Amino acid sequence: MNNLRIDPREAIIKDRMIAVKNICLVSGFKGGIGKSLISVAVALGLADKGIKVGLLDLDITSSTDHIILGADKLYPKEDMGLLPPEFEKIKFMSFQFFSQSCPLGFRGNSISNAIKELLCVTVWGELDFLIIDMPPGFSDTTMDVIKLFDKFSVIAVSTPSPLSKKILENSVKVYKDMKIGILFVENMAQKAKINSIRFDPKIDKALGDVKKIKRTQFYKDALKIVSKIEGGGV
Amino acid sequence: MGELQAIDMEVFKFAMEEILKQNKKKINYKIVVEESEFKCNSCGKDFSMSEVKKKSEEEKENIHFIPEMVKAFVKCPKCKSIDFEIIKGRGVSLGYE
Repeated sequence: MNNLRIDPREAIIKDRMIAVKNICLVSGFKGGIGKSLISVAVALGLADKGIKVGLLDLDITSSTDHIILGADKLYPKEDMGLLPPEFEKIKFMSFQFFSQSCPLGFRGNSISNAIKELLCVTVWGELDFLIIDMPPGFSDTTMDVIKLFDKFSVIAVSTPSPLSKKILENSVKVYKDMKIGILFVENMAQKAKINSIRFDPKIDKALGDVKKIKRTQFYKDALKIVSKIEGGGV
Repeated sequence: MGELQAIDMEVFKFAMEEILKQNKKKINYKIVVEESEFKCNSCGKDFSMSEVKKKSEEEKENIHFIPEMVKAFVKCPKCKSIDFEIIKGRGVSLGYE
């Protein structure tokens, strides 16, 4: 008996993503710099403009997009795959739907397998933008995404901290070498600048309530990023 | 067929027959379920699904969609670690003679 282990998942993923026009990774390489908040704000901003948008939380072991949105009671519907639940006109997918908030002890191979499985079963349909909230660091997830998607752009998030800036500089070299479009965004900025989002202490109290989020300075500043990516500025 | 995939065998057989019909092929085939096998990275214990607490229907469905979710709902029966490898029981492989 000859044994042939087949893995059709990468081919299936390409087919599933065929009607997704733009993939944008929100990446940042340091933890706690606001990648998830920016991912959610950008998705909300695009959806408000009538743009078809999906949001995928790939921060597998520390998913928070559902908490920011206040969308923790959702579950995908099954129809020739899994349809991401729609929340605030965003097609939203997260590992949290499946892990039920249990801790996930994932090592490298498990991360790759889990990402492939989720992308294989998810039916995004037609999307103008898929915003992907990435985990910190140049991790397994980052390498899997680079491998699985032919074309994507990056919103590279840092803070005024020299540590955050330095690690970002080093990490984006990889994307630059690949000729991938990068939009640099400074979060928690002291002053209003181009491509910056000012530090807003009120954002924490708005978590879980989209209406409140949309009233914050943070969100208003994030809308500048939305205009940039909508206009092809990445 | 990996146990963790929890594929409905009747649906799978129906799909298989349809593919064979469409391609005008006649073959003898047998579907074998590969039982799960895990290895704890913490204490080294080998274990399987049959040795852990029975999973709820909801948990089984989540594992069906993403087999790695077994790590959310299963712990090593010896040391209770959530750090274990899936050695067998996921994915699909094809054997032929």
